[in-house]
Amino acid sequence: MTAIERRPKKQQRAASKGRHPASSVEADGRGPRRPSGRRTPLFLILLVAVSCLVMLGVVMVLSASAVVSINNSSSAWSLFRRQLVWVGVGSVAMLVMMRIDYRRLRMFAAPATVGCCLALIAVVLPGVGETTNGATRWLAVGPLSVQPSEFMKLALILFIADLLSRPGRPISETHLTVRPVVVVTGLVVGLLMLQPHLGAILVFGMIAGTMMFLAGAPMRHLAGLSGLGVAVASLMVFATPWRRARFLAFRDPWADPVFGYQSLQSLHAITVGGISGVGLGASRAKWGFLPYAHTDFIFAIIAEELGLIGAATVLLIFTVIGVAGIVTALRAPDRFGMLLALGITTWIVSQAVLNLGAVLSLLPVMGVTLPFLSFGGSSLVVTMAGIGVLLNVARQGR
Amino acid sequence: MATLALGLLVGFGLLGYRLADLQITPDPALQEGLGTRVITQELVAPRGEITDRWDRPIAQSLPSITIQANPQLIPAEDLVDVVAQLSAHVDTPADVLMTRLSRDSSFAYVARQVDESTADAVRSLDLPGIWFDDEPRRTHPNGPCSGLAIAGRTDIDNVGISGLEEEYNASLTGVAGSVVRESSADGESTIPNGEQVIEPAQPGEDVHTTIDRNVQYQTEQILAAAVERVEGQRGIAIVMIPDTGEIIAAANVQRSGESGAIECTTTNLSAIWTYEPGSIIKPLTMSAVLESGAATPHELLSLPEQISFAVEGGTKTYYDYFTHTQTFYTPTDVMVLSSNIGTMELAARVGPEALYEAYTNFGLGSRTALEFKGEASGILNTLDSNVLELSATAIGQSVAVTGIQMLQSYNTLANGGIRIAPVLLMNEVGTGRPQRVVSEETAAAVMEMMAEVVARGTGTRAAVPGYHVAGKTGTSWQPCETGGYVCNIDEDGNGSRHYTASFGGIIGNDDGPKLSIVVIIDDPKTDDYGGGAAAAPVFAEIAGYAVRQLQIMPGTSAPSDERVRADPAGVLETADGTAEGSESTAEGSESTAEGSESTEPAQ
Repeated sequence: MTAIERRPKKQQRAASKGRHPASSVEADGRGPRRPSGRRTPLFLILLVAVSCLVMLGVVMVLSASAVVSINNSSSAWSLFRRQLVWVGVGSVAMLVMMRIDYRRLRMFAAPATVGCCLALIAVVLPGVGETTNGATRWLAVGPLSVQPSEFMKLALILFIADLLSRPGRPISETHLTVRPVVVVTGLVVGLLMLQPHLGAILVFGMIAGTMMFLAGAPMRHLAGLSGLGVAVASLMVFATPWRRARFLAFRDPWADPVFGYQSLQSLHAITVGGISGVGLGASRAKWGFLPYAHTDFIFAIIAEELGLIGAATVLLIFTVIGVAGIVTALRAPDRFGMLLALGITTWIVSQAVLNLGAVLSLLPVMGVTLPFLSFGGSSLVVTMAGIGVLLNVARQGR
Repeated sequence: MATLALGLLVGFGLLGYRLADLQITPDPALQEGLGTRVITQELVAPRGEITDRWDRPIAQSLPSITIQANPQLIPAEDLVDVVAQLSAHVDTPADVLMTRLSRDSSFAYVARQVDESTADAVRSLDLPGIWFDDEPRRTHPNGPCSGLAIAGRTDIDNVGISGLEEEYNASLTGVAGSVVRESSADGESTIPNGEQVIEPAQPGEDVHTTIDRNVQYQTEQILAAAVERVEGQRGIAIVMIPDTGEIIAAANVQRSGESGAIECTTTNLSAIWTYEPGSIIKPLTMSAVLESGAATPHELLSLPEQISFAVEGGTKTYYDYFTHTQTFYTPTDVMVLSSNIGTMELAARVGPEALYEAYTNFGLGSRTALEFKGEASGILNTLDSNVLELSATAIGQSVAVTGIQMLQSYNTLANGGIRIAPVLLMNEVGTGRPQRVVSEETAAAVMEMMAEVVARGTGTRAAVPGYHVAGKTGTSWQPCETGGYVCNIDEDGNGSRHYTASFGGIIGNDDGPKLSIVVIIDDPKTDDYGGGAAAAPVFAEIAGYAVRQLQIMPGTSAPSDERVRADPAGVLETADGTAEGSESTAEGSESTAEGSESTEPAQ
């Protein structure tokens, strides 16, 4: 137990009584069953926004995965059913995290980080991880395939938020603050390089960088770390010619029909969608033309079927989540909550931007899922759990 | 924090701008061509049927399935197994399959046009790289070749390559339709809401022939049996309706190079095989005689024992097959007995120009209106060169005709002297321009003579009980490849002769002539080589079947079975020792000319 409880005495006592911290009892007086915090407008906005995305995601995963499903399993519903299960699990995770006082999560920061690191090590051990498309990202747990890197994101956010919010450790004492963060993040990045998973590395980098930046880490450290990050990423990308070609194909997909294929198909689907879309379920791209239509490229299907109206709405909702997340951080009751909210917001927004940027050919394709919308259990469950934490911070906000 | 919020807004603003840019002002290059796969599937137009006069199919296309393969999709290690499994179900030999499937190609036929059960059996094997296509198969309900000399054939791709199949290929083929559909990227599924255009196939039009399928089949059977019986090589039998020229049946048989048996052939011998007709031409000669007024049917003619012509290096002498001294015959007797001397005498009275014109008007020397592909025009020389030419032509030598020409000539006599073009298609019936060749009286007189031939002359075996039959036999020599009419002459001057036995006749009832038929048999070898023995019975059999099939009523005044046939055999049998029956010996008109052959210089 490395986390040191720094909560006010009152809350600490309230938390020790049971599931429902006392802070909310005073707030609206509905009795002791109220979970921690209260229904702030911020909380409601976030909840509604995320729910909209999740529900849209369910519909779009059904639309986009039916072809893949029927080709692989003879039932058009097979992937959709799995996604429904994950939405159920994710919702439970979100509701649970929403009701647990985020401060109690401090105690999990270190064990979660250690556990996820072990899992990441396990993934890259020969014969343990599952390899798909040249990347080893999955760990078989019984009948399930789990992507430890997704869990690592939440764990790392917890870890950094915990570390940088401890009293008595001013950020200026970099050997106690910046250095541990850099070491742990570096370890994670190192493990991800072995997979390899560039997209996740960028997400981790953004999370760690943003959190350190807002925690007040010295700029020179951050600049140095950013430079190091860029160097590492460049090394990964440019070391092998085909990876470089694939990486750079987004700039002019027409120039390289092989590596640009996915980008072209994505742009085509979006273009065909036009303003009002071809209609729900009517996508052509999902018929085997656009690879990963139901996972990384689900936004292209949304843009095709629902047009600018639907796609712009998705962008708007992500913007709302981002802004609401920042406001949540601003209004967080303590530094830990602030860093937590910020880390989670950065996580979701950066992942959304990387994914949408790739789909729109503004960024290279790096295998980042679109939060709440893409098919995929680990990502969905962990993201929803993270949103649960964010919601908890929001409902306790000032 | 503000920096972060700003960055977020800028980021999403950029994404939004890009999205709006793509969707509001679409790039044409991105709009078309990508992300769609349009598959155009041809809809096969059913090939039209070739039917007989009662719309019964002679050739029709039935649904069948062609099994194809993409050899590149068959794993090399499975090839032997795949071939073994396939060859268990299809007719294609295993080694052929192995060759086809080992090729570096993405297409190979496994088996073409197999039936549904075979295709299902192969389907159930679920082999890699094998697929199935609809491809109709041309079938012939009457058998693999019945009537096909006329109807023609198609190749395996259902393209007409002979006969009517070739001539009317365009209208038989129809217009293929198409289905245009959007498919998934792998081409295996059709996108349910994808664009689909269906252009229905326009079926090919049927060709309605004047053939009677049953008469056609039976004629082939009768003819083949008859040719086999006399050990001949080829045979033709054609049946026609006199007043319209409709062809009811056209049988062509020949000895198969493979089995050695007489089989029906798809070669239209009736139009392309030319031969020297022999005595069967005499009714035409006689028509010219009567038409020109050179003689009347019953006036008495004085005939010499022989006629000689001076030729290079000697003389050429013609006899009748029955020995007679200076004697008197009527022209009717000349016909009935098939006298060469009498015919020559009468022809000489008509003269070369009139005779040539008569033959030409009957249609000799030119192709018929049927215009079969490869149809021969025969050979009819102008007769003004010398009197030998005229005389030989008058008895059917040194002239070459096709079976269909001969039938057309006889049909003209049956049709009251009006030549009508033979027709093969129902929609062409009545479109030809009838042409008068001889007067009705002349035609009737010649018909009367021909009736006598059947009643008491060389053609008695052509009689069909209950019907009026008129006809004429022919037993002609075939010219040898080396020239002359005696082939393979040995040191003693003996050689073999090759004959063509024929019979042309008309069967009718009290209403008049109903069917004209010619039967021609190539190179009969048995003693029954003469037209009266080899061909006339075939006529009787075919005619007897045809009148029943076509429901032509017997005539009340026609000779019945009980009628005693006039028998000129007493004369005839003594005339030719080789002859066995009266009819065959009656055909000896040319064989009596054997002596003339010996007068020629050895060739």
